[in-house]
Amino acid sequence: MKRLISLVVGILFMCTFSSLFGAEVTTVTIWTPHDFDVRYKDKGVYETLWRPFEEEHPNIKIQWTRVPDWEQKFRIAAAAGQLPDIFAVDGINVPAYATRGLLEPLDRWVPKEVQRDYWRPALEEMTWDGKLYAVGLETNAHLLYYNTALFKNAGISKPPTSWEELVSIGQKLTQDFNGDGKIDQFGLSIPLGRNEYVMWILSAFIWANKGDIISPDGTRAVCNEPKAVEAVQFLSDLVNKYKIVPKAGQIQAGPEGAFIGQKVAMEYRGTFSLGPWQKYLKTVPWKVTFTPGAVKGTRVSGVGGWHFAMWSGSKNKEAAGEVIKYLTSPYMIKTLASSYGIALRMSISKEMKQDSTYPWSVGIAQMKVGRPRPRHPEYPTITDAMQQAFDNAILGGIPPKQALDEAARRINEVLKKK
Amino acid sequence: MLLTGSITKQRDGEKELMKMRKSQFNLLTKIFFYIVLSGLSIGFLIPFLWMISTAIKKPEYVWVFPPQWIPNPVVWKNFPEALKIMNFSFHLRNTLIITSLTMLGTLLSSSLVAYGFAMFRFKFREVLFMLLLSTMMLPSQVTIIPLFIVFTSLRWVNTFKPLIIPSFFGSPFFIFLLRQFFLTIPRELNEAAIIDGAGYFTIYRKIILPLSKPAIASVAIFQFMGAWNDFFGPLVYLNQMEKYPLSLALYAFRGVYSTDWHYLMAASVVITLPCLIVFFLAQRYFIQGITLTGMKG
Amino acid sequence: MERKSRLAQREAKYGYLFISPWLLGFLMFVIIPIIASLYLSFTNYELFKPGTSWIGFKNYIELLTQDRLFWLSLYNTVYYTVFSVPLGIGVALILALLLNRKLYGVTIYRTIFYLPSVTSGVALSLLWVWLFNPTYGLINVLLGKIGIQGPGWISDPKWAKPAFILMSLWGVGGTMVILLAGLQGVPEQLYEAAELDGANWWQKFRHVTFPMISPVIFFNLIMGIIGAFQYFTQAYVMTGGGPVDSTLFYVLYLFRQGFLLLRMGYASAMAWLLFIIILLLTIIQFKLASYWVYYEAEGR
Repeated sequence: MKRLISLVVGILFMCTFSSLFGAEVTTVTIWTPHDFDVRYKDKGVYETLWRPFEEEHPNIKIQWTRVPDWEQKFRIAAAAGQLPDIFAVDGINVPAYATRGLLEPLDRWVPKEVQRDYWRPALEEMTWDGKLYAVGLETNAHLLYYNTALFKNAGISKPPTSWEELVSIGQKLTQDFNGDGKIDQFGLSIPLGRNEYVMWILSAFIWANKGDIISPDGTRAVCNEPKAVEAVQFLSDLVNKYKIVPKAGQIQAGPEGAFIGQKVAMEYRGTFSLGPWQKYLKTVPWKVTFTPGAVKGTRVSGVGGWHFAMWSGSKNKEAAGEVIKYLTSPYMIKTLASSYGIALRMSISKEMKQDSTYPWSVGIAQMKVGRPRPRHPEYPTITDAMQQAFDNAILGGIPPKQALDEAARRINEVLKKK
Repeated sequence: MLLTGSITKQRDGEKELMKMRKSQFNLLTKIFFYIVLSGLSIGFLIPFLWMISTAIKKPEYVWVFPPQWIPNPVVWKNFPEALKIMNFSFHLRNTLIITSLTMLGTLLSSSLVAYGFAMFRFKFREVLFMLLLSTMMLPSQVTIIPLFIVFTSLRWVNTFKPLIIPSFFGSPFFIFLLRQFFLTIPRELNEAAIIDGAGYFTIYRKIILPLSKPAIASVAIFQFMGAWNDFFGPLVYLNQMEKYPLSLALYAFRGVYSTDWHYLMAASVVITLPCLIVFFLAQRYFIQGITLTGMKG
Repeated sequence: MERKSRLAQREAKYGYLFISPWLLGFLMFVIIPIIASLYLSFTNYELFKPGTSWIGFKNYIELLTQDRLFWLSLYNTVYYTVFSVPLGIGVALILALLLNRKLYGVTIYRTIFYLPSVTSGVALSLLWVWLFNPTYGLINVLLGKIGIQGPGWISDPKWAKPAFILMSLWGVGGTMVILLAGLQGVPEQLYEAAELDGANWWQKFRHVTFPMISPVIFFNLIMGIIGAFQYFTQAYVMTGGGPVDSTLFYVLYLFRQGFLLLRMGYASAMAWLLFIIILLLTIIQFKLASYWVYYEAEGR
């Protein structure tokens, strides 16, 4: 009995005291698919990312969770109205989520000068309809990775700078060493199949040829216009006519296998591999360069990445806003860049001398001519239609014009709905 | 369909003769079996051998071509490193809790319900049984959001409750399985027991269960394995990493842009081991040839 | 007369009692999501978008008359089911028969064959992508060693589905275990009696083994059909439905419509159409069962 009373008194005491001192601690929840716990395993995620914030803001605690299968979990939680305060969002989804009321505008916490410090294509991904809806976590540009050893063996000294060179160099690098009729080494690898990564890389080919997918005002599809059709025809030719690209799986000895297994000499990929592929330099002497434009002297790059957004239904917006501010801070930008590559803010990137340090310098140069994928609330349909067109034209033997006409039809259908 | 034969003393002599012929035949068939089984085994094992081979490689050798089966150098320390990074012992606890409780729930409830469907006649039995089966015919992709909302309103989200509690209400897969097994037990046993005045529950405990050891063992194995590896349930209902079981913690090695294959394989191998041990141990319930005494024919 | 009906009543009462855990669980957890998904199938519900309204049978009509991929995904799924289920049960049965003896080391073999069912997850699926590589994957390399030019497997629209069927055969361990358990329940005396009547191994199988394990085979058949029609994860991870939609299985297409294109109402309609198909097939199987499934408990 005595113990019970003292327990109750103790609890009441603590309650009164804590409310007296206003030690009301708000917990801000953050979800990302990114594996911070592995990337920052040396000092630990908390030490590296969150402690500096919590020290400045004793009333706010950050609770971060890594989500294993983002697509499914995020959508289920969102549909049921059970999202965390802050979550990562793929830049392509910002218009879709913003128009559907999922995202809280962040202009309150991020002044325009800071916004303008972000790389322009990344900022494009972070905004919609004039408002800022996300702040950068990481961003990536396209690069052409090439194997200098294989180049040397074929007597090639420089990587291609135009589509014509891409083909001629690619052909020299596609070889059947032992004469058994099977090609042992391919010149080039591009992603093929049905996923967003394919869309990210291949859409840049359309831009490289000065074509586009939807009109700049977002009212109609232009993916079936001549320049775009030419680009897709070129992609199909790479695989079927010049045969310098293996069909998906033909040579992929695993997701990283084709290039790392030294079965292809060149590969279109993102800047995100610059860090993780350092360890392969011992066995595969790779270098990076710009992705060639259709015509010599031109180039364009795709840009894409994940960003932090705030849930419009969050109960802790003020506290979360403080965290958003922190996520735009030089410290965070630098820390994330150490792991994911390009520093999102131009001033920080300059400070880190990324534009003068190889290989980051190549990525930075690509960022400067970079553009994001089509910005539209109906992007899910746009990307599905385009992926289908790529798949049908390149692997399905359907003429590019026909495949792209079908994609244009589907896209126009949803664009009309708006 | 059943051949009936009467075993009498006269035929014992024939039995002896057959046994002798059998033992000669046996040696040949034994060798044959071993060859066939070994051949098939290798086919079945290849993906694992590759998993293990990858688990002990240095990361830059994982995709080397031609593929190395026996890595050089062999890096055993991938195992402790991988386990440390994914915080294995911490998450093991969660997996053990979820697995053991769901096993308990499933074995208890599914066998009782299966007994009901198998051994009792009641109105609507066929309809209800079809209803039971039909709950497995609707893809979970369309029921997960409403179900999630149900659990949200119960405040069970971010706890183990949605993973454990439903198992105490029977699982259609196991109910169906056990019902099929129970139906292979002759009705006469039941009826004899009833005439002797035994209650239904006693029959369940003393007759049905002992005769169903392999079936119960199968259910135990499958439920263990299912809960141990369950990914989707924990993914949807758990929001904090401390609550993650091993199946989710394993994804630490799948980054957004790169995967640590050597660690992923090493950790996968370790996570698989308990399932193998459970399976191995449960084999003693798979003893060949149950003789049912007190039966006619 | 009266005593019989009292017994029957008592039996019925206890019957309901024993199945009550399932019934309760059904009413608490299962029925709401089922009704919700049925309702949603008659709406234009889109994820995250407010303003869901009733549209009657529009989703169903669109699926059946305007959606080419609906029919294609259904075809892909039926193809997969028709091959993987009988082959799977057949292979599992052969393995179970081989391993249903007191051979030394049989436990080890059983464990080896069961091993694939134990590992799940992305790690393994990605491994198979590598194994299926037409030029350097292990499967074609081994085929090459015995002089066969291996096909393109998952990179070839004609071979992608067979590749998945092959992969499913690798996972028959679970079915094998269930059949083993079933074989355990066949009384030794029956075999002895058959032998004394001069039966050879085929006759023993046909007249003793098969009838006695037919309830379990039936289970595997039904569960096999239900499972194969909902085949999803491996295709989602390994091919995303390609190449050229040759591995776009029904539930994968459903997932794409509901989760990626956000058309949850449409996806719900897909789910209910699938439900009807599977239910009809199952009912047919149950009706056919009286011709070949033997339940000792009910006499024949």
